Amino acid sequence: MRARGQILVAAVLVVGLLVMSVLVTVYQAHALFLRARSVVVRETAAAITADFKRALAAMLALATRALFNYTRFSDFTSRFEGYGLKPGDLDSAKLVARRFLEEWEAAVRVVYAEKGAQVEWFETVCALPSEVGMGEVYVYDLMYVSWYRRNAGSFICAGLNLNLTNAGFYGWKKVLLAGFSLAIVNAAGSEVNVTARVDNGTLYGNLLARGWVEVYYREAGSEEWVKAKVKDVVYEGFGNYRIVLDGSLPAKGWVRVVASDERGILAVAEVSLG
Amino acid sequence: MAVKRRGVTRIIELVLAAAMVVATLLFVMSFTRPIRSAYLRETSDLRRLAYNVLDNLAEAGAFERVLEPALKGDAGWEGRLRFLVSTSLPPGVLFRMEVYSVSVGADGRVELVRLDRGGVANADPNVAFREAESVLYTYVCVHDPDSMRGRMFHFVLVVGYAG
Repeated sequence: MRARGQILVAAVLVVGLLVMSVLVTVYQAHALFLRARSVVVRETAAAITADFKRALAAMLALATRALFNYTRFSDFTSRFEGYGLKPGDLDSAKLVARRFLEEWEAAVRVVYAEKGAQVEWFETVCALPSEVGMGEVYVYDLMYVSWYRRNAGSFICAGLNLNLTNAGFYGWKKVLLAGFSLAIVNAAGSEVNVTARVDNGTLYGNLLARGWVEVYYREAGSEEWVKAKVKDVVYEGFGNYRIVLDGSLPAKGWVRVVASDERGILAVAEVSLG
Repeated sequence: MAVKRRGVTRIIELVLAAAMVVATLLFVMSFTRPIRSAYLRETSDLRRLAYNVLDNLAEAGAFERVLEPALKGDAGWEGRLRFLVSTSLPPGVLFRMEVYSVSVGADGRVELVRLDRGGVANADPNVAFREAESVLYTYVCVHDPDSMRGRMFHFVLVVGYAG
């Protein structure tokens, strides 16, 4: 009888140890899975997505600069002549952008080869945020540029599919909208008030520190645009800027505000005076 | 009485066995709980730190300003980048950074040209890193100057502690 008791104790111990070893193994496997999936992939996917957005922004900057003044920004535009970029031609800029994004895709595949990166960009449709005040507009065919109006904007929209096969990460999909919009709130006398936004309607507060703004005017009956001398630009918060001119705007005519965000994306807004 | 005694003995044996099982369980759990051991935690933090440094420099437009002279052949750019990265890292953290220019040929072939000569580092080449983490980063230039916009670069940043 005593022997049977010892066998029982031994059996309980063995079973207990087996159960515990299984639990520990499962726990370690789960922890390893979490480490491999959530930590390593998270930053890599975020870095690739952020770089894709930079690539989109760079191409939109190229298109808007080629559209506004190809020669003035030739340090940038001339480097893409070989891609087929033409002055003032948005369609050629779109073709250049598509080729550049293909190249970006190839570069990412090579750089992240050790992670088994499978990357593919695609064209899609994005709705413009209502905050930019341009109505119900959709960005398709890669880019949308609407200038020479009170609420002007330049936008680019594309999506990204990403797999990191060596990390067991599949199916990452992100649609990105990059852009810059400018709204003339008021223009009279020697002051022009504008509101600047970026991307999904986020109010932009870096126009003075990192971007730039110019004002042009044209008197009624004249064909010539005159660049106004800007005396001061004051940031009034919430994306609002007060531009003080050295001299007054004409009583009748048009005023045009050209602005660039820090990424080089231009927007050109225009209103009539009087 | 003899039967009763045997029953009590078995109960005591079972209680002891259960106590041993529980003790073993607690013992094992005390080992398995810190599965993210000091080593793993450190490297995870180092990886995040490296990405934060690169993201901050990218957001500030620092790469464009530092790498523009590099493309023009200025030898001092490595020192400037070393200074920028050093000041972005906590004291005691060592780093080595490699900078590549990325270009894609007409045939779609990607070419990586290393720009640095090993000068973007705060550690001697013979210093072994402990608890090191290496991160990869691609960067499309978007900030001023215009001559840099649209250029692609690739960075490899290794951060760690001295071994």
